[in-house]
Amino acid sequence: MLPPAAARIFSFGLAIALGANCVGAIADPDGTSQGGDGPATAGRSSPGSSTPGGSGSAGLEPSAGQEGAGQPGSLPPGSFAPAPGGLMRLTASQYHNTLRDLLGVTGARAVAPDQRGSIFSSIGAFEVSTAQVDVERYEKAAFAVAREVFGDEAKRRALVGCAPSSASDPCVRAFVSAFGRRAFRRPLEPAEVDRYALVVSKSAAALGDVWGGLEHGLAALLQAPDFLYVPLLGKPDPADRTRQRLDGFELASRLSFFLWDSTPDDAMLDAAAKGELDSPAGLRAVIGRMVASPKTRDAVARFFAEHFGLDDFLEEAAKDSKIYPQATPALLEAMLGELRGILEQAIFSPQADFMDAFETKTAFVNPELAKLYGLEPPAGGAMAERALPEDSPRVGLLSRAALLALKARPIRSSPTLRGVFVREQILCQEVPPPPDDAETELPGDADGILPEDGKAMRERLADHSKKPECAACHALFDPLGLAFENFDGLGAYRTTENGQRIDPSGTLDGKPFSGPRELAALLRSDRRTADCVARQVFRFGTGRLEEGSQEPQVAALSEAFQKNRRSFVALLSELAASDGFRFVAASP
Amino acid sequence: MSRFILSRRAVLRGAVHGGAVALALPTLEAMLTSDGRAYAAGGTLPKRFGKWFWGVGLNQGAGFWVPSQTGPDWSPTTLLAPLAGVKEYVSPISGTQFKHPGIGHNHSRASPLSNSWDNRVPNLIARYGGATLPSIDQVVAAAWKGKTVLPSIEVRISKAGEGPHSGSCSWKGPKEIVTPVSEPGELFDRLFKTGGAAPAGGSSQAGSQILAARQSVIDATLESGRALGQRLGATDRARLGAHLDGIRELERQLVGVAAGGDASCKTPMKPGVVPSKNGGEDLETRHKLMSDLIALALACDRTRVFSVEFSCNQSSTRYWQVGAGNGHHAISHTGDSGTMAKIAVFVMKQFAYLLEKLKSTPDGLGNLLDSTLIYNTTEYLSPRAHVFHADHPILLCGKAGGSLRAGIHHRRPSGENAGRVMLTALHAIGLPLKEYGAQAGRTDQPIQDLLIAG
Repeated sequence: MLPPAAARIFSFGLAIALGANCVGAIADPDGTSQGGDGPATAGRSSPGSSTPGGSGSAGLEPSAGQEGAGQPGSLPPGSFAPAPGGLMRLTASQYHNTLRDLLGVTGARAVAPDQRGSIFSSIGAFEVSTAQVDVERYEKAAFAVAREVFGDEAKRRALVGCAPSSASDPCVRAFVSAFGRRAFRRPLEPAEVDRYALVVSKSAAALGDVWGGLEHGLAALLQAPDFLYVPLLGKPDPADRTRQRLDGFELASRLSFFLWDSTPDDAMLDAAAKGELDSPAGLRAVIGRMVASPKTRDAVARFFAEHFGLDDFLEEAAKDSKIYPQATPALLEAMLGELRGILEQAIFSPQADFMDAFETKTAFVNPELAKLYGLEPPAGGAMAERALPEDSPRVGLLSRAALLALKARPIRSSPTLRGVFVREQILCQEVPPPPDDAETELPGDADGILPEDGKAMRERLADHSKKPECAACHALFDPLGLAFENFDGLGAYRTTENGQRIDPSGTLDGKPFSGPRELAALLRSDRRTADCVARQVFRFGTGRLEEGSQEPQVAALSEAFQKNRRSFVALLSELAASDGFRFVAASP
Repeated sequence: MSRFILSRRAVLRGAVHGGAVALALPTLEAMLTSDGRAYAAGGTLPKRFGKWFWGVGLNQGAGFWVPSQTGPDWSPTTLLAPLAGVKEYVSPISGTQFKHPGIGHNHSRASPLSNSWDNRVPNLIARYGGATLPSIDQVVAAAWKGKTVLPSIEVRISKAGEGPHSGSCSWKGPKEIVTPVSEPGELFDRLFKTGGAAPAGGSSQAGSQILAARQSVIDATLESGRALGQRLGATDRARLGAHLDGIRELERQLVGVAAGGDASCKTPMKPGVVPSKNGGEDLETRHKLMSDLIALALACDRTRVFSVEFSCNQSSTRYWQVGAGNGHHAISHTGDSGTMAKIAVFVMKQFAYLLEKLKSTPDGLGNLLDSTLIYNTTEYLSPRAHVFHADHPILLCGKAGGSLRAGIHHRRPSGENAGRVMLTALHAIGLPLKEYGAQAGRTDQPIQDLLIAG
């Protein structure tokens, strides 16, 4: 029997279609047909019996379920099962952004750390339990925030909006109702108003101070489960009993934490109260207003930080100073800045086609990065935009120093890490873990000195993966990683390595490329790349790793991405407006 | 509602004043039998359990740490030299190997800390760490829950690599991660003040007023939680239940701390934030402050279980103290074994401070090391290769209340299941599990040679 976790992963079909033994992919490197007979349908109904990779050409298809799918909003009831709802704990950034938006307090506070169950912290937010120490942290933070607000007379007056003469003053209940609605993201039940008004009166009595009572009332609201967790439960859908429909306030919360990485504002809560989120047009209008807000940039930044693994960039991309003495923190910061600049342009510039990011020739450099790229350094220390030469082998985000340095070892490049990144993150294909006794070392790794044996990386890697149990999988990702061998472990361009001329040519599932530039073009035009963007946004936005029954939603989202000329902002909007976002399965 | 609250409060008061919650009273000689191993009034002295883990490992031959002689006359090796002053409390256990196969730094956290690892979890969802059993400290904490104000305390010294990939070295379940604290001030708050507004001693008027106000907040939180729970499915109800248990635990702590104003457990000054040093982490200061608080917490019986994560698995800690220019994990994949050795010795020097601190803290007729058992290990003998080897570095320290043969180098046949050492530790502290571990590590055989029947 598979343990539940493994059964789950094997049940979600094509996203892992590379399979456990890589056989299917190897047997048919030309497997680019769009057949719908892969494990997506065959495997998901019986998780335990699924044999990933065992069905030939389907081995490389990330999404076979896209045919016949329409707009996200147009899937008829019963044609898909929504992802389960449940209890979503605020992520650390959502918690902080919420305090900023509700109370104007901005300090960093120790709260429960995010857990990335499967790439995204939004998925962990639905799954993990809160540790004892984190319960204590939330309590401590709530009291500290309340103190910060009530310690400032102007702030407390602005927040409370009236001056209570005693704890029984109607002002108290008015405050509890008004702030409670913003904190819980829904109107409070009368019993809840009673409950928190009682905190105020009891505390006021104990402390002999009505303001102290209100301070405790605020602290209580800020540590309530209803504040720290977002319940997405819904009510049974009369049209389809198998699914639950989120009410307007739940949907407002889900939209807001997805598109703003923060709590809904008053306008959204008002829209929910008026039922505006219940009609497609009303929902679209609210979403349109939301994605025009600068707060959407917070959410997008979070998505890419987790998708590309950038949160610990300075540590993860750090280099051996003997081999890469130029790898200063300033250079690494600039790399990250460039990546952000490219994404910003591909997402937020007018009429942006997100897929342009895969071939862009725009660079953002500081003097150190300009030197690494061989570009004219900008004056001063600031970042500046530069155009890469027309014939530059470095195009698109995959051959920028940020990702090249991140997907490398401290002492050398790593075609394996780079190739796996392309397969898993860019094409959404799960690569099986290496065999238990695999050696991950190449000659030279042990002593930090690359051997002067006249061999280039391609040859060393081939020697390394001679064993049949290694070769099958390495054949999947090494050719893609070797395309980037013209870029060393830091991302600098080179034409030779160890005295050998570098050959960056290869094939992407049967399609030949001569080097990184042509691979970038292939990936950009490969429908799987765009589909993967949609799939990753689906995971991030719903906070769920898709199961087979959600494949129609993912496919419909991919279609919508194409119809909207691959606008990333439209992709966010389409998911937000889709049935998959408005409905949930009964919570587990 | 009020009836429920009243009865809960009454139970709490009874528990604290009636002594069911052992608080803040260091065990005095007069209370003991003549051999100091038991209370005169019956009942044995409490045992304590600690886990001390450091990331990455050695990249050295076994001789770097394994003493050449077995038994009590072992001479400290390069790695163990810093422990010479407490040698009679340190038992190196050599020869064993963790049995979970794998690659990367997930099994090397899961296996040495929980003797379990699910190697079938693909990359996409592997980031919770892949363990199928709780970490060993949480096994003990669960068994001893309710004996002290805090079931356990968890600290992390180096904050490097605190990113989501590394999680924590303590967990109750695959998705129930126990968050360690890295600032001594935060541990201090947990031990003595516990967040929010300070109750500041139940005897004072102001303290009891603040306590009453905080309890009104707790009441509301529990009520809201109950109402929300009724709307949830079973899984989420359990998740929320864990949170509400945390709230009740917090209340127990508040009431307990407020009631426990014993003079000899006088709270020390709250430590401030540990500033950085030489552009890096001041690991030495942070570990000393944490060790002092751990000793105090044990002496005052605030808790009997602690976990120190000196550095996390796959740690990127930069040990500037020994001249390292790169992160620990990065260095482990170069040939710089000289720096690796210096780091290991530096880490062991810090560990020695904790042992010495416990040894110098009286407990009964002896000291805290007499009653404590600390399980010390790391990820790999050879992190370069990412696989477990025989002679995995493991130390059992302390006498576990006289149940462990302390101060001996004990050698096992090469490659024997290291899970047996963990099971032995559990037996020594009075948790005689019939079997321990999962998958390839499962064992029902403690190492009898290390145990002293009592």
